[in-house]
Amino acid sequence: MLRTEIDGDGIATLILDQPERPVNTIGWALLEVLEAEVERLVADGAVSGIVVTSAKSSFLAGADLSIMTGLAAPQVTLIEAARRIGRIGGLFRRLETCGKPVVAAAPGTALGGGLEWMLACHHRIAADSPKALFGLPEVTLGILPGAGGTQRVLRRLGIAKAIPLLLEGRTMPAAEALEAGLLDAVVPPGDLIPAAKAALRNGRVNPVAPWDAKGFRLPGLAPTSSAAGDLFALWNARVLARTRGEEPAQQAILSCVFEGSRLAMDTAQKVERDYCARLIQSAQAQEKIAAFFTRGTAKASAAAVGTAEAG
Amino acid sequence: MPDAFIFDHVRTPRGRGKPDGALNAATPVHLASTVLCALRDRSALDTSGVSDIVMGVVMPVGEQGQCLPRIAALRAGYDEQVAGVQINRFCGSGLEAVNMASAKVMAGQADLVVGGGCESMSRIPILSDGGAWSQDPDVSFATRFVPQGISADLIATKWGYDRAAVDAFAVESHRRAARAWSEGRFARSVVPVTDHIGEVLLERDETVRGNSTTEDLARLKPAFAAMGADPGFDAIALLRYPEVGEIAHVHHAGNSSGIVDGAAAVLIGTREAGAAAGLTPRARIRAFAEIGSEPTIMLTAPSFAAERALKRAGMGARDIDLYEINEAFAAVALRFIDALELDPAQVNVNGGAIAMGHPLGATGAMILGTVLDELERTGKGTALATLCIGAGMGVATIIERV
Repeated sequence: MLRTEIDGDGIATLILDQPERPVNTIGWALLEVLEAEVERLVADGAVSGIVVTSAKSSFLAGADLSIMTGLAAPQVTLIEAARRIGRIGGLFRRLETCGKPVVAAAPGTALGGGLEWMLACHHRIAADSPKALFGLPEVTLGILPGAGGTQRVLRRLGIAKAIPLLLEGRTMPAAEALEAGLLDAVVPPGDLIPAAKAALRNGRVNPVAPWDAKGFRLPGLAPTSSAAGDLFALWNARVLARTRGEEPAQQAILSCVFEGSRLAMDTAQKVERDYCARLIQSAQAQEKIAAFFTRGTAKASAAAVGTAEAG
Repeated sequence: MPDAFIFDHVRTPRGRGKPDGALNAATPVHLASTVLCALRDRSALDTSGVSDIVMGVVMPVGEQGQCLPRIAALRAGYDEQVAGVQINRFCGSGLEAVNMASAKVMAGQADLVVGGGCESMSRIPILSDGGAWSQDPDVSFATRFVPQGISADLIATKWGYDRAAVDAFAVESHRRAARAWSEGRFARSVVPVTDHIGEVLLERDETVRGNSTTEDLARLKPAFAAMGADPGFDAIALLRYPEVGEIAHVHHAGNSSGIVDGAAAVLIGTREAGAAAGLTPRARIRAFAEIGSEPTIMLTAPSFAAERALKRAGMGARDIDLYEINEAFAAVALRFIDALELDPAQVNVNGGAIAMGHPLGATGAMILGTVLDELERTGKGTALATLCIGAGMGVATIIERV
């Protein structure tokens, strides 16, 4: 499900490739392998930088069904669910703070947890693929990006731009994701890995995330400014009026931005993780998740049938 | 339990709370120290007998922060043993400060205490202190936060106070305040604010317009219709009050309390401490109460607080001669009058905050003093002062002349 190639310059390319699946998804088995592999690469003195990529046409499409439903299993307490979500966020955070520069090189689509992982990398490149989509659509499933996604979007874009992006959960093509500040570069597909390695070789990738550097301030509005206060009050009202309080995911996202804007990354991520756990254990989210995966399976089978017929 | 008596009351005139307002050049500490000096000097009070100064300050930040009452006491030259404490119960702070001062006296833990409040709204704008209620999603959603203007319009809608009714109330507030000024009814309590070379900045309430008419007010646009539509505060209010169907926006700057600067101080103490200082008690604090109620409609708690205070005093609404209800919005006062089935002629006899303004932290102490002056002027016995308060609270105080 994963292999690593280390080149002569000490650049390790970590390639996601889950067998018998059209796309990579995060499951507990993959996570365990990834955790071990990341520790190995971090400990390996010969490794100077890391490229994370995928052997599929897409990068990574979030968590799989077993994670999404398993976290709401009757025997999983709220605290246990939060702890498990935290394990995913913890892996991304480990890479972000490992001391070695990490570049995400997405051959295609990165959604949900996939984009969250990219956001945790120090540099993000995507191949210019017409079908590729980027975004954090968790909110449409009644949950939120719980592996640091809300916090990194907030820290990259600032309060004013992060809120609508996170609330909407829209997916967008690479060019738009670049424009939105979610990606750093979009390159022709053939140049993807060379561009990622070049960035590392040229020393252009700072292994310290901006928010882990001393003196970091959110771009745009200061969280304690009256303008930010007004903006939060505005969005609170807008969302409550629009959803009649029946979409707890949107409220929780606002809470993650409000509370997270006042916190250091690690504490903020714990807050986010806890909100995510509450949402994912709700009947409302589980209904949306079930409907989503049913649709996905139906689409996949239809596609398989189509392929078989065409063949 | 010792009784708490009111020995004196002073207030500043209220200046328009804008950069061109007459009190804009006065710092908040100067406003507070002005009333503290006046309270001391006109009774030749030995301030070493005062144990504490409790003052409402609703935006206790910046130059209005850092425990302003203590700083103002030092600046006013009070004995350095006189402590100070700043309290915040939003718009009820000034009356709450008097109640807390009284409670110290009644509990036997103080002999003389100053209660009052201070707010320079022109220098420290409302909402300068931020706060979780509107901003923190966790709180805002759970409490169904709406701004007070929406609550006021909700009250008007729910109880049928139309635009004509609220505008007429506003015109009457100005008429009464203008009459009170022209007849010198505030003379005993209002002390001019001067600058540091002794030049008078303001000696009369700045925002009273005795010639105000309902025709003038009819031209003003409703202030809260836009925020009702976007971001949608009407929809939020209707989550709790679906029965009103649609909110009629009737309030505007002309029938809501004015944004002003001002300060007030009330000297409270035991009969014995007063006698020792050569002071004559003017009124006894008969009872007081505070209460919380549903926070979205927010501004209907004055009647609940009044009822609680009346019950504590063993009185009924008809046992009170004069009422002061803070005119935060016209509908708030109208609802209070209806809820207690009062005669409008006994309520806010000398106008209110629609005419004279509402310096947040000070107003409660101001209206208590105003109604005491009016009791004395008319030879009446009992009065109740009350204010509506953010987040659904209310506060009320009953006094009786001695």
